[in-house]
This record gives sequence, C-alpha cells and structure tokens, in this order.
Amino acid sequence: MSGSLGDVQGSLAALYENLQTLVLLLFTDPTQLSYGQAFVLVGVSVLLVATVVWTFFGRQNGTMVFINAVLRTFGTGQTKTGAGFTPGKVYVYGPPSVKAIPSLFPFSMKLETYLRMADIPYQPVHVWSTQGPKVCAYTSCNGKIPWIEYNGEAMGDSGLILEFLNKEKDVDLNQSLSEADKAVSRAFTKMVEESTYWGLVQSRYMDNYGKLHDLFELPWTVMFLVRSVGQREIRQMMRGHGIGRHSKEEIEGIMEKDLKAISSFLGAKPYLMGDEPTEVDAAVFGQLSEIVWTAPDSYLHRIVTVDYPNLLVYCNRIKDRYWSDWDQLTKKSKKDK
Amino acid sequence: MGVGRSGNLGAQVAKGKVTRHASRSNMANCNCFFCLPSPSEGNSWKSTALCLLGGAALASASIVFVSRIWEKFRQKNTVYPEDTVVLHQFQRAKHVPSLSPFCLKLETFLRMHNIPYMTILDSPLSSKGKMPWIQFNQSRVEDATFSVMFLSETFHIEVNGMSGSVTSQQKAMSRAVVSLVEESLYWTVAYCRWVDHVDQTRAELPYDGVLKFVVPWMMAGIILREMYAHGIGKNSREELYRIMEGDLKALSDLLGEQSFILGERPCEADCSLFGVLAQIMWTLPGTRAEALVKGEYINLANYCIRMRELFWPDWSRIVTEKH
Repeated sequence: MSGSLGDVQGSLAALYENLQTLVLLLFTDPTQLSYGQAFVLVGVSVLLVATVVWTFFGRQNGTMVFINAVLRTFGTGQTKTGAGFTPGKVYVYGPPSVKAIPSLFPFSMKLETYLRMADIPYQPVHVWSTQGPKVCAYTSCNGKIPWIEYNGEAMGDSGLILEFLNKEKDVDLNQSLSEADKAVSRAFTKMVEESTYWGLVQSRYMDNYGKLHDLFELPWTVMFLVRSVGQREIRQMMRGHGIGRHSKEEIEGIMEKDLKAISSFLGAKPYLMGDEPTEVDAAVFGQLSEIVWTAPDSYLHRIVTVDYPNLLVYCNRIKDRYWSDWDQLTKKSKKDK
Repeated sequence: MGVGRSGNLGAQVAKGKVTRHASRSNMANCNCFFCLPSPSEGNSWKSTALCLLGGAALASASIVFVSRIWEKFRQKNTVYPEDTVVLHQFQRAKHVPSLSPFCLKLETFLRMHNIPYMTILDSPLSSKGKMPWIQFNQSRVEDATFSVMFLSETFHIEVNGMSGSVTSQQKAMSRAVVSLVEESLYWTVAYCRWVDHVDQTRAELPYDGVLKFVVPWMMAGIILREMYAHGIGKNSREELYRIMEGDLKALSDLLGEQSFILGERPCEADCSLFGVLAQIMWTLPGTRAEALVKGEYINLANYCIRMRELFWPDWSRIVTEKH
C-alpha cells in the first residue's frame, strides 16, 4: 500500500515540479520552450480561466454566458448602441423570423402582438443574444428575450416592458375591465406564462429535439453547440422550477388541464374577456401561437386543434386581425399550406 | 521546494541536471508538502490528521447511509389502516400547522371534504424530493397538485372541489387562480421569508441548536436557485414586491365581498390561497406582506380567519406555541 501511495505522491510531485519549471522557463527564457511544453502551459491557463469564470458565474450562468457569446458572434442585425436611435421609438430585439412563425419565442410574440394591439409603432431588430447592447449588469437586464431599447435605455422582461410602455405611451388595453375582471386577467396570464409555457418548452426542446434544426434555421455548427449545451441547461431550469420533476405523462396532464381551462373560459366569446382584445389575449396568443404553428404532430397541437378547436379559431382571429403581414414576415414559399 | 534551495532552477532544467521526485531516494531529502512520510515511518502529524479525517468522513457517511436504509425499511413494513389517507409532511410549527403552503393546502383540502386521514410528521421526502406526499391503501401519490387530483377521483369530488352545479367557466377560473397563487405569489412569499426576513423566520422554525442556522441558510440557497431557474428570480427585490402587491390586489378584487374566492362555495383554489395566506398572516410579522394583507387588502385577512374557523377548529391545539 505504501509503495503505490509513494508512487502517486511521487508522480504528483513530479507533475508539480514540471509545471513549475515550465513557468519559470516561460519567464526566463521563452524561446527555449518546445511546442509541447507551450501547449501544456496554454492548456493549464485555459483551465484556470475557465474555473474562475465557472466559479463566478455559477454553473447555470456560466454556460448561458458561453451560449450568449456564441450566438452574439453569429447573430445578425445591428444594435443601436449609443447615438443613432430615434427618440420615442421602440426597438424590439428578438430572434429573426423563421418559416414557421414571425418569432420563435412566445414572449416575443406576446410583446409584438401587444404593440400591434396598442398601435405602438416599433422596429424589430433581429439578434440572438439575450443581453443588452451596452454593458448592463446581468441581473438588471433580466437576461430574457425579448428586450427593448427605448431612448437608448435597454429593458427586459415582457411584463415589465408592458407596464412601462403603458405608462409611457398612455395606453391601457384593460380600461374596459372591472377590478375583478382584471384580477381574472392576471390569473390567466400567470397560468399561461408560468405553467403552460413549460409544457411548450418540454415539448419543443426535449420531446421534439430532432426538429429543432429545421425550426430554428441557424447554421448547423451553431445549432450543434446550442443543442448539446442547451438541453442540459433547460433540464436544470425545469428541475429548478419544479415542473422538471414530473414525468412526461404528468406534464402532458398539466398541459391538457391548462388548455382546457383556457378553452372553457373563452367559450364562444371572440376574445378572452369579451368582445374586444385585452392584454391577456396578447399573453395567451403568445403561447398558443407557438403551439399552433411551430409544434405540428405534437400532442399539444392535437389538443388545440382537435380537442378544443375554439382555441384554433381564436388564434386565427388574432392572426388575421393583427398579423396581416404574417406571410411577408415568414416568407412562406408557395408550397406551404 | 527545490526553488528555495537552488537559485537558477531554469538554467539547471535547461541543462538537464535536475532530476524528478519520482525516485524515492530524492524524496527522503525533500521537505515539500507532497513528500509525506508513510505511516510506518513515524508520527507525522499530517498522516495522523489525514487518517482521522478519513475515518470521521467514512463513519458519518455510513451512519447516514444506514439510518436511511433503516428508515425506508421501517416505512415499507409499517401497515397503515385501510381507507385512510396517510399524509406525510413536515413537523408542526409554532403559529401555523405547517410552514409549507403545499402541506397546508393538502391538509385543508382533506378537511374540507371530510376525507379520513392521518398525518406522519417529520416524514422522509418523496421520491421527487418534495413534501407533501400521500399514501392511500396501495397507492402512493406525490406532489400536492396530483394528490388533489387523485383524491378528487377516488372520493368522487368535483374536480375543483365544488359539489353541485359549477360552470366550466368557474372551473377554468379556479385553475387560473391556483396558478396565480402557486406559481407567482408563492415565490414572492418564499423570498420574503427565506431571503429578506430570515431572522424572524429563524424564530419560527421548530428546530433547536445548529439546525436553526443550517436550515435557513440551505433554504435561502435553494429558493434563490429555484427562483432563478423559474424566471421570477431574475427580478430585483423591488420588482418582486411589486409582483406580490399586484397578486394580492388581484386576489382581493376577485374575492370582494364573497365568502370564498369564487363564490359561496369553497374549492381547491381556496385551499391553495389559504396555504399561502396563512404564512403571511401568522409567520411573517412586521413584513410588507403582512402589512398588505392586514391593511389595504383586509378582506383577505378576514377570509383567512374565516377559513381557519371553518376547517381548523382545533388550530390552537395543533400549533406548537400554546397561549
């Protein structure tokens, strides 16, 4: 036992001694370093830097920082850093349109639908990154897509953006609602964004993993990186949320009940709260549009089209009224249905 | 290390003169940390310390392991009465029957529908690592939400707990309210309790000694991490309180002058709401949450007291702090 222990100690010490001599050599006479030694030095320093980054940004964030960096280098669109923005104009940062839908992120669809309902002109800027153009502290930018820029200031989180724009542009889509109705509105918004949303995430990123490439339309090298790292991230997020602990069947059960609730509450009404659309319609359409148009052949699509068809009718109603340029944005080819 | 002893180590390396530590004859002369003398060579404090540390680690690991196995064995072989729901949950707390809103929700639901049940306090966690969970005859259901669904089916209760005619609209609203309470308000209250007012929370915990400090410290980390993954944790403290206020206002507006959140008959949404509101009412003294519920949205406070009198007449006997 002491023999092998001695050997281990010996080799560890030898390693340490080697590294030490290499570092010394680097500082005293770098030209003497062979390529192998230089490679080892570079490897060790990369490891050190990676450990530091990992420690500071935490296990979750470190990977997201990495993904963001990758996406930002490959992303398109110019950001309105500093000068060059029109005051009073809303710049909406989000992913570019794909064949399936104008935006792959439900909260982007929600935000843009709201802007269209409220008649607030905006300019979409297509990027893939989740942070603002300026160096804003990670937490205050919320790290979410979509984010907007208004008068040079970046702002994240669709809920907060809506509140801000309501005040700034003097808009209130909910003005015809009673206090109790507003409460119901809030409850349904929460349900669709905190519960139904995760079922969509599960379906898109876990169950229909293979279809992601076609859906996202990114260069396959980027897609490969995002897929291999992204799935683990999402699984961790879902576990942290709590829903990740449920089995696949249990999640499907939750989704079924959520969609049934929306359908029952909608009934035969044109919009959720009555004859005119309100903020909750933007939120619900944001999530449902993803189900209807980006998740064909999934159980979610079946629920929305076959089990509770009033949801499909509702989605088409909003699409026809507020997204008349849908086909232009998605550049549908003639053979798509 | 060798550096101290030979000045120009670099030059020596380049000339191939310095040999490595691998040979044991070198080790005998070396004073560096890695060259630990083997235990047979005498009483180095380092080797004794390492042995003790290793021994202690091994001993504690085996104690924990054995006690876990024993607990599982005992659980499996305990026979519970038939047709009685066995509710596994945390210990009773000083001012509320349970510090967990979900445990309180489930127990209130059982009482609401007069389902016979017994509680196992201080139970091991479910296989998902959560509390509460139930056993009924041969079935085992985890998670409060699924437990409610299971019980509704088994005992033929209308899914949202309302017997008699209930419109599908009301059922839908009930589900939305449950989401509001459990996915939004719950996290803001958890933040308030474990992160913002952890000192008061410590006084509420039913533990003594070291646990009184370890548990809040662990919980704060867990809650923050879960909130961040959920998404709500990315908000600042002020924004979280704004969300809490918005949620409480919505619930207060919805409740209005009614007896229960959706009318004159109680339902699952009432159980969820009571689970969270009870924490605000009685375990968060001096916080903004309590001020909101007992102040501006006082109909929620009255509602809470009403629920307590209806479904928990033995409240004062159950909570551990006797007056």
